[in-house]
Amino acid sequence: MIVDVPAVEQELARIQRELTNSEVRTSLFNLVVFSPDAEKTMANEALNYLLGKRAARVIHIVNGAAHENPTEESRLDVSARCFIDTERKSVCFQEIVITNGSDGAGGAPGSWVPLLVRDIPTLILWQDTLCDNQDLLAHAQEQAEKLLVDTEQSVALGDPEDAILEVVHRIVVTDRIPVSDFAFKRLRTLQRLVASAFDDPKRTPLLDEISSVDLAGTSSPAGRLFSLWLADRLGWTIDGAHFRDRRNRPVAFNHTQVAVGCSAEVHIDLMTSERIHIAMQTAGCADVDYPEGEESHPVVSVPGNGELLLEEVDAIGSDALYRNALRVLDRY
Amino acid sequence: MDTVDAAEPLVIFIFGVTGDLTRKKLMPALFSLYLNERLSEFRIVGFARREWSQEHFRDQVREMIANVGGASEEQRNRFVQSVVYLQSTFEDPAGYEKLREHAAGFPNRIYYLSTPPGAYEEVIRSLGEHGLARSDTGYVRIIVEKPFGRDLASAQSLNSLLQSCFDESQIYRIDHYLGKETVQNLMMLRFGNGIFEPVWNNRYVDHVQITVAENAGVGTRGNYYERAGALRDMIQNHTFQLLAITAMEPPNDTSPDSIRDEKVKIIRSLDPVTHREPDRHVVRAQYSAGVVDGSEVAGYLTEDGVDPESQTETYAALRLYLDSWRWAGVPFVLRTGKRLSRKATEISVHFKHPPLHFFGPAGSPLQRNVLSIRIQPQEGITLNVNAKIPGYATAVRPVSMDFAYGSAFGPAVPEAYERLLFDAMKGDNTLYTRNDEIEASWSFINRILDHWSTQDGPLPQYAAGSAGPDEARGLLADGDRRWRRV
Ligand SMILES: NC(=O)c1ccc[n+]([C@@H]2O[C@H](COP(=O)([O-])OP(=O)(O)OC[C@H]3O[C@@H](n4cnc5c(N)ncnc54)[C@H](OP(=O)(O)O)[C@@H]3O)[C@@H](O)[C@H]2O)c1
Repeated sequence: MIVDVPAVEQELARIQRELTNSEVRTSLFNLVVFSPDAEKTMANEALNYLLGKRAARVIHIVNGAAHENPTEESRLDVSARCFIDTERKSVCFQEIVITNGSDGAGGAPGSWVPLLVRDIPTLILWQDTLCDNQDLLAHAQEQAEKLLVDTEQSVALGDPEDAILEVVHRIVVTDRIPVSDFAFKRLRTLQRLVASAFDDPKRTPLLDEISSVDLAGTSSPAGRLFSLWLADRLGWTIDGAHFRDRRNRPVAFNHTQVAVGCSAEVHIDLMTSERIHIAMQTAGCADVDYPEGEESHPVVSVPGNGELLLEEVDAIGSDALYRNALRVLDRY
Repeated sequence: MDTVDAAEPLVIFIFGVTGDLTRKKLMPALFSLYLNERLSEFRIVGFARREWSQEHFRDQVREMIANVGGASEEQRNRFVQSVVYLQSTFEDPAGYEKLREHAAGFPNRIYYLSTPPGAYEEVIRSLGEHGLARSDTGYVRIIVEKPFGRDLASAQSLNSLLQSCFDESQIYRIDHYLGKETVQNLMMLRFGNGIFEPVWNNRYVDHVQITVAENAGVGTRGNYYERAGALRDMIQNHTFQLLAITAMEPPNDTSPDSIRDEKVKIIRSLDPVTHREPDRHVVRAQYSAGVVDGSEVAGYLTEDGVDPESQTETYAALRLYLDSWRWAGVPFVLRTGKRLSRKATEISVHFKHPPLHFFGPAGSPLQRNVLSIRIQPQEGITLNVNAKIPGYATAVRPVSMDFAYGSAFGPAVPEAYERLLFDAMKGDNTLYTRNDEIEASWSFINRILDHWSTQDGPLPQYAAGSAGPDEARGLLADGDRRWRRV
């Protein structure tokens, strides 16, 4: 494969001219997607949501072809999709798909970095395993303003559950790369719900009285991330499989896994043997039961991958909550 | 009607006319000057060793200028008629007598040394000995190519040899980066606008990055490169010049010496951190095999002409500080390398964060404002600012205010060599380096070279096509500072 940058640029410009004769909006960011497969990835769903909302250059590096088709040479295809917005201007995705063949050339930065539009942010959407792609990942993170990972999906693709957070910890805490993890982002609704259960000033002191937390739902990385988030917010330290609170009292955390995207339930047991129960359906309704018999039924909304991606491309900064949660791994 | 400012009648001698530089840069630049009516009466005499006939030489010149567009056949013919081949070795005195004959009839003379560096001394001395360094009828000037020495001692001896035959005002030491439009524009940007200079200091600037990245390897020049390395080949000259222009104080006026006085002060004010703690402030590395523009390429140690145990660096990065009121405490990080992910030369000034952080997600400051001055490719200037995304929420994203030379002013940006050759014809040496600048930069670089010469063992490696070695990351690892993407 030879990447002839001027030829690719010309081709993109030609395709865009063919697709639209209205003024084309400037690309706002580069989005480089790494995935083992062009089709079966949440990136496509998320990208479709972005289409017409933000103009971007999307470079999709399909890494898995190397395994499926070991004799194939890396390949590059160019296309574009344009939508006319309300001001009759074209919002385009300039798309470059690099299929990484057995030569491995397609994933190397020397193949795709020259295709990035300069002087606009670059985001890497990592839709592949993290643990056995460390080399590619290291080069990719070097080029990016932000790395978007999905530890839930990486584990589904084969990353070992017990090593995945250590890998992201290294990237976020040691290498200080701004990272957002969709697995963590998807917890946001549950986090807000749990936090709001203690909003009432009479319940806030109970935060220091938690003796155990049971989470049912979400995948394994999300469960661990949830516990780390709680630990960070409440100043807990790690003690083996559980935690210790600020006064060094043990706090148990138990997680029962349920497949990705399902509803979640949290039981919070207090030192007083009382319990707060929070249940959330992805459909939009939640139940919160307090020890004194009160209950509330807030309406919640769970953002989809497309909405999350839109937030990410609009806010280039790092996710401080995530970083702080991972830092708990250093507190034992 | 516009009057074109043309050079006075002159003869240009190119020593090493059959070489690569003449083919790629000098002849096209001279032809372009001719097309733009900058050359009135002129002759170009090519001096080299090969047994070429006049006809063959002229055919070669025709090829050299084939890619210069916008010329009629007649213009090409007329230009080619003005070139003459002088076959001789540099060592043969008869060559210099022939040279005198070719100069007859032209009041002014320029010698261009486009020879291997080892031949400079012979040519300069012979010109002096044959009384060809002066003329009663007009000017005689000599342009010397890079590299100007390979350390302080050799640069000093080359300077004294030059000065024993020529006056400093006759000597033009070329650094073609100074001929680039954006480099000159940097001075215009800084001193011709009211808004930049007030923030051009350590109160507002967090750090400055200067990058000279190439995606090419050493190619056929392995032999030459083995004796040079990135520090000598790129940092001592081009990168230091970019540093000087970025950091210098406003000159008293625009005369060549006022500007060069300010530039040399910058090089002299470099804090010798690289001397005290070289390994903390300097990183060197070599490229290993990798992928560039989609194709696999070899590592440095297996390139032609390269010693498989070579210690020559193909990448160098330095973190420097200036001992000056304006820049105290501001890191200037410089890097250059071969076989990086793409070709890019730029200066970027990274400003400090605002004192309070209202916008954006909690705990993660917005991106810094960055003013980047792109020198190649696509010369231009970009200012990154944070802007609100239209809508009800206060979402912020970095956007760039972009100024591209090509699109703003049309295609008439002259090639660096064109501008520099014309300056030499007009006697303007502002964009050439003075002896004291060269010696100051060598004396700084020499200490790093001395330290390296005491080190053994293989150098750190970086994959061809990557952003450089991991070790370089440490030079910027402070807060949210990061290298800009190559
Ligand atoms: N090439 C570039 O892109 C580039 C860029 C920046 C700076 N430079 C500098 O420019 C200078 C020239 O570079 P280049 O690449 O053009 O070099 P080159 O291709 O090696 O050419 C050297 C020239 O010198 C002639 N020559 C060498 N020894 C001679 C002798 N004893 N007598 C007569 N002629 C002799 C050769 O003539 P014959 O071929 O007839 O032997 C040839 O014309 C060097 O100092 C280099 O560092 C080059």
